[in-house]
Order: sequence, then structure tokens, then C-alpha cells
Amino acid sequence: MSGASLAMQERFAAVTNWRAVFMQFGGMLLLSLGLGMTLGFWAGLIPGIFIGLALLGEALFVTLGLLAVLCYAYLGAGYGLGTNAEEQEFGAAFQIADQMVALTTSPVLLAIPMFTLAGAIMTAGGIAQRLVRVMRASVGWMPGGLGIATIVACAFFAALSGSSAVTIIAIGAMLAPTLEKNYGRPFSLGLLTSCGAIGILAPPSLPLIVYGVISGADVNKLFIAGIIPGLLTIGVLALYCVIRGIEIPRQPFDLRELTASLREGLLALALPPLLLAGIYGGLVTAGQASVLAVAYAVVVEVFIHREVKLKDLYGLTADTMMLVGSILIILLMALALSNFLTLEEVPDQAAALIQEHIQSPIGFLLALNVLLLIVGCIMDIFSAIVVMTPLVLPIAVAFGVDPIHLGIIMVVNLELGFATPPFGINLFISSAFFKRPVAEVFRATLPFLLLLVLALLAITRFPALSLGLVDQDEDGTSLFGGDCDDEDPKANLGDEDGDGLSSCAGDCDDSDPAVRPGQPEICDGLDSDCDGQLPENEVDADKDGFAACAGDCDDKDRGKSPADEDGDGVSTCGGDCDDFCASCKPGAVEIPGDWMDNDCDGETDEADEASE
Amino acid sequence: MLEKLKQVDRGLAGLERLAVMAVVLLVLVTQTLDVALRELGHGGLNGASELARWMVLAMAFIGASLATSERRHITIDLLDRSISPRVKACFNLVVQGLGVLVVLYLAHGAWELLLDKKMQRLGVGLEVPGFVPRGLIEGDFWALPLGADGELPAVPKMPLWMFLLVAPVSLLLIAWRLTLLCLEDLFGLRSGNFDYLEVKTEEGRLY
Repeated sequence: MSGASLAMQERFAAVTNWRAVFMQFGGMLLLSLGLGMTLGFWAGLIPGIFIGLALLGEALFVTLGLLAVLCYAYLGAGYGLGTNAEEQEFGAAFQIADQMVALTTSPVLLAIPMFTLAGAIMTAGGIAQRLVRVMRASVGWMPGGLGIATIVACAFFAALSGSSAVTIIAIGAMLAPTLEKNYGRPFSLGLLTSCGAIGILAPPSLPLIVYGVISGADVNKLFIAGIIPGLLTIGVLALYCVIRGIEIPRQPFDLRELTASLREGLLALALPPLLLAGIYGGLVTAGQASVLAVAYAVVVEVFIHREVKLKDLYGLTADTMMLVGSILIILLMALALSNFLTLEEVPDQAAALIQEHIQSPIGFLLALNVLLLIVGCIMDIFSAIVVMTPLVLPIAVAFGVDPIHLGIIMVVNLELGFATPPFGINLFISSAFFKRPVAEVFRATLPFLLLLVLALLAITRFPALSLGLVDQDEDGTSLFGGDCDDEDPKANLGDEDGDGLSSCAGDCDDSDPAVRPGQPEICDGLDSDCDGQLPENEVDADKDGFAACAGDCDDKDRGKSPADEDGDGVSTCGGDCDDFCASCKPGAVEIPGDWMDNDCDGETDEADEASE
Repeated sequence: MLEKLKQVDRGLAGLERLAVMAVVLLVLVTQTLDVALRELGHGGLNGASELARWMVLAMAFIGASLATSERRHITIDLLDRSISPRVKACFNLVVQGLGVLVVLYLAHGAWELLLDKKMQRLGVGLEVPGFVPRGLIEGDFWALPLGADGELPAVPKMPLWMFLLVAPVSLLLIAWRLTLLCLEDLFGLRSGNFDYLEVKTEEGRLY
């Protein structure tokens, strides 16, 4: 019997706890009332309806759809429920349908069904067994090797299968007995429960794709941003395994076994790196990569490993589309609702409200972490992302948090929520599958959870962990690649003018080889030595085209310049009183009747005659 | 009676499975061809990306409709852990009944949208395949998109409304299936047998 069926049985076997039901309803009512009193009738009613229906077990897409109907019909523009076709006045249903269809403009959306299908085919093909063999052969000889092998196998398997529940069951079934024998039951239980979702950040990470669709953040950048945080979460757990495993006897390194296991498992292991190479090599988009991943999975599992039959693909596809449909329909409803919220500037108002109480970005992110951990316990990750992102993103941006960094924080938080007592779903799956009381699983998971929380705090506190590998300004270099300012495309490691220095090495103008540190200042109006200051005599203060160094005798008077516009051989700086009159300059002969001051004595000839 | 209705539903679900398989195959073939042709220097397959985006909409709606029949929609089931199947069936009756109303209303909106797009004669960037006889496609029923001069272009595009049809049809099927689930819960409450509630499995959840 499957672990999940056991979990269901355990639940159904429980005697109805009416007190718990009433307590939860009471809590829900109090929460709704509290929200209503704090935020006003409608603002309180909407979350109240959401929480109420969600707790009753309403399908999330119906809950969000109902909220969207109420919002579009009665709030903001108030479209009403009905449609007057003659007047072309459409009701709430039409507006929502219109918003739902707008989702088709997102090219990355294709990646969700296709990556899920690729994962389902790989999982059906017995990938777990091959992964475990490779990991044990490659790291099993290290101190804590078995634990590390478990973590890395979990990470790869969760990334490919897209399911933490299946990861716990598939990897747990193979490694739990050996883990328990070597490390003891609590360690084995805790490790397998907490590592169920650890591959969530690795490509093809569906939660990151969903976040990208909702937030508009570049999915390719999100994949890159997830690399270091993903390795960090794996690293802290691996370190714990090493510390715990020092005293434990370990298997010797066997090159032949490693080669054999790699021969068997390499094709499965190669998928994530191949995807990354295809996307970042510019060969394919994330959507197209997902389609090729399906083709790859079919070739590997049906024709090479022969563990999936061609006829099985029909059932696998239908099952996968059921899963995908249940996620995408929520996405459609949530986008319709979030569009309404954006139009009504609700997130902006919420941002202003929150900024009154929390001033620092770190304070905001810490509060967000707590909120997301709670949400992660009670909602599945996709629903949590589609519901929370439209609300949280504008507030985070107002606090100066980068949307890519926010995406990573959200996904890591929600990942931790799976294993967070008292409602984290992985706890119940482990409890049922390993046939241990839930309380024991809670206790066993706590040390791992604390380590993961530490990693989360580091990811939150140091944005560079998420953004360091991302080339944000798209100048070809990331922060960790040496870019000195990854928000300014002009600051990079390239040497465009060939003067031997890049803008990051101090070249303040990388398009002009005459400008670089150490260059002597010449009279060109440029900061030639890149000291950040333009010499005073190079400044053309009166904007006449000449600085003092170029001979401007009075750089505050636009009428004085060294130019000889009229070609009479004398500039205004040389005493020419009218540089647009070729017959006017000091010493010239007055021409009677031309009404000009030809000799620049301050008087015209006509004036002379008049005075005579 | 319930069993007969379920039999009808299974037939409909079989058709939907075929449809979704066809959609997935279409996307696989066109997208692979697009990448292959582009990499071979033939400029890719025109309209493949746009087709894929509309096909994702079809996958979403057909998948959601199929998920309803197996009670596999995502819920926040905090109360599940503390209530008996009988109470759960009572709750289901309420939430699924409400679901029928909401989904029917949304299906109406999707139908209105379809009619509006048909009236506007909007098109998708795909061309009507050459093997479709012109006499067949030029009827008013198809509401083919018009060119800039108001005339049918030489190679007409596919009408947008055809791609939208999946939304109201699937939403109607979801409403029908939610009604069946309500009936199932009613029968369960009457007979005291709640085995059907075990259909939903945790393995079915992504992450």
C-alpha cells in the first residue's frame, strides 16, 4: 500500500474531533472579524471568505474565482453580475474570462506542463534507483557519505520528478533501512523528511517558473539565481551529515562501481545540466527546453532504458495534465484576481501601510519569512505563490528588494513549510510511510529544519547569494563574475576602446581610448585621467564652445570667445566688438552710412555725424 | 442512476484524454520542428510559438476538467486531519454546490468572450491549412479574420474563437462533474460508505 493511502487511512481512522473543528472555525471567525475591523468591511470580508472556504475544503480555483467575481462585480469599476450585450456593457464573468485568456501571452507558460510531463516519464522509468546508485558510489566513501548521498539523490530526484512526496517515498524506500542502521532512526526520519523538497530550486524548478509567470521576472535569471541558495541548503544538511557521520563506518571507494553506476545513471543526471546549457547557450527558450526535455525523457526511458512502454505514455500524459490542469486553473483565476487588485492599487496601499510600521528592508523580509513559513505549512507551493506574489511583490519592490531575490526567498520559505510542524505535508507523508507517530517525525525533523532556517536567513540577509551569478544588467558579466556594478550595463569587464582598462578597472569612459586613469589632462572638456573631476580651465561655463584652456578670455561671458566668426582676423577676445561684421574690428576705418561701429570705439559713424 | 451518470462521465473523460494527448503531441511536434528548422537555418516554423501558447490554455482547461472527476483539485485541507468522512462529505456538499454556481457563471463569461471575439473576427497568427477546402472555410459560421482592406486574405488565419471554445466547454464539464461529486456525497451520506473519498492521493501532489 502506498504511503499516501496510509496517510489517508490514518486520517480517516481518527475519531472526529469536533472540538478541533469548532476551534478552527472559531479561529477563522475571529481572524475574519479581526481583519474586517482592522481593514474595513470589504478588505476584511475578502480574506475572510478566502480563509473560510479554504478551510472548508473548497477547491482553491473556485475560491479564487468566487473572490474575483465579487471583486469585479461589486468593487472598483463595479461591472455587476449581468451583461447588457446591446450596450456592450459586459459583466464580471466576461472581465474574468478576458483576464484568464490574457495568460496566453506568456511564452514561458508552456514550460509548466512540459517539464512536469518530462519528470513524470523519468520517475516512471525508475530514475530513483539509478540516482541512488550513482550517489552512493560517488560520495558514499566520505564521512557522512550515506547521508550526503541521500541528500544529493533527493535533490536530483525532486528536481526531476517535481514532487516532494514521491521523493520521500522513492528515495526513502531504498535508503531508509541502511540510514537507520548506521545513523539511528531519528536521524534517518529527519533527513528523509526534510530533504524531500530540497531540489525545489534546481532547474527545471516549476515553482520558479510559476513565480516568473506571475511576477514577470525572467525565468532564466531565476534558474541561475537558485543555484547558490540550492547548493547552500544542500551544503548545510551535508555538513551536518559529515559531523554526525565521522564515527560511522563507511564503504570504501570503488571506481568500478562508480563507472558502472554512472553508465547507468548518466543520462538521467545529464538532464538538468543539458537544460541549463540549452537555455543559457541561447539555443532554446525555457518553453522549448521543456518540450525537448519531454522528447529526451521518452528517448531515454522508452528506447534506451526500456523501463517505460510506449503505451504507458498515454496514461502518464493524461495523469500529468490532470495535475497541471489543477495548477493552471488556479493560476488563471489568481491572475484575474490579481489584475483587479493591481487596478485598484491594493498592493500599493498595503505597501504604504506596512512601511508605516516597518522601515528597514531586512525587517520586512524577516516578517515576510515568518508569514511565508506559515503559508507554506497550510498551502501547496503553487497556490501559495499565485496567491502571495501579487500582494507581496509590490511591497517588496517598495522596500528595494529585487524581484529575483524575492522569488528565491519565497520558494525556499515555502519549501521549508513542507517540513514545518504542525501542518507541513511532508511530516504526515513520512509518518504514514515510515509508520512512525507524527510527533516522533516532528522531533526528528527539528534539527534539520533549524539548519535550513539558518540557510534561509543567510539567503535573506545576503542578496548576493541569489543575485551574484545573475547578469542583471545583461552586460555579459555577473557580480560573482567580476562585474563591479551589476545594475549598470556600462560598468563591466570589457575593454571596448582597447586602452587596456575596463570600466570596472577604473576606465570612466570605455568608448574613448584617450580617457583612462593616469592619462594627462588635455584641453578636451573630458575627465581624461578619470579622477572624477574636470579641471576648472576645461569647463566651458558660458557654453560658447570654448573653455579657458582653449583661449576663452572670459568664460562667464558668452559674448567673449576666441572664435573669429566673421573671418576678419580678430576674435571677441582679441577686442572685436562685433564678430559677425567683417568690417568691424579695432583700428578699422569707419564706413559712413553703414550704421556700424567699424573701429570698435563704442560709437557708430552715424552717431559721430549726428553729434557733429 | 449515479452509476449510469458516472458511465457517461467516463466516456466524456475518455474523449478528453484523447483530446489532451492530441494537444500534447501537436505541441511536441510543432515546437521540436520549430527548433530544428531554426537551428538548420530555415527560420523556424511560423506560428508555432503562438499555437503552443493557445495549446497550454487547452491543457489547463481539459486538465482541470479531468482533475475534477478524480477529486484532485488543490485544496487547503487543514480540517481533513481532524474530521470524519461523514463531516467531510457534508462539507463537500456545501463547497461543491457553491463550486457548481461559480463555475457555471464563469462558463457563461467565457462563452460571452468567445462570441465577442467571433464578432470582432479576430485571428491567431496561424494560417488555415491548405488542405482545408476554401468553400468550407469561407462560410459566415467560421467568422474568419479579415485583412486590412476588410476582405478575406488569400491565406486566411485561424479564427481566435476556435481556440477559446475549450474554456466554456471545459468549465461546463467541471460544473457537471462537481454536480456528480455532490450526488456521490449525497449517496455516501445515505449509505454510510465513504470509500470514494480515498481517491485523492498525496503522491498526486506536485511538491
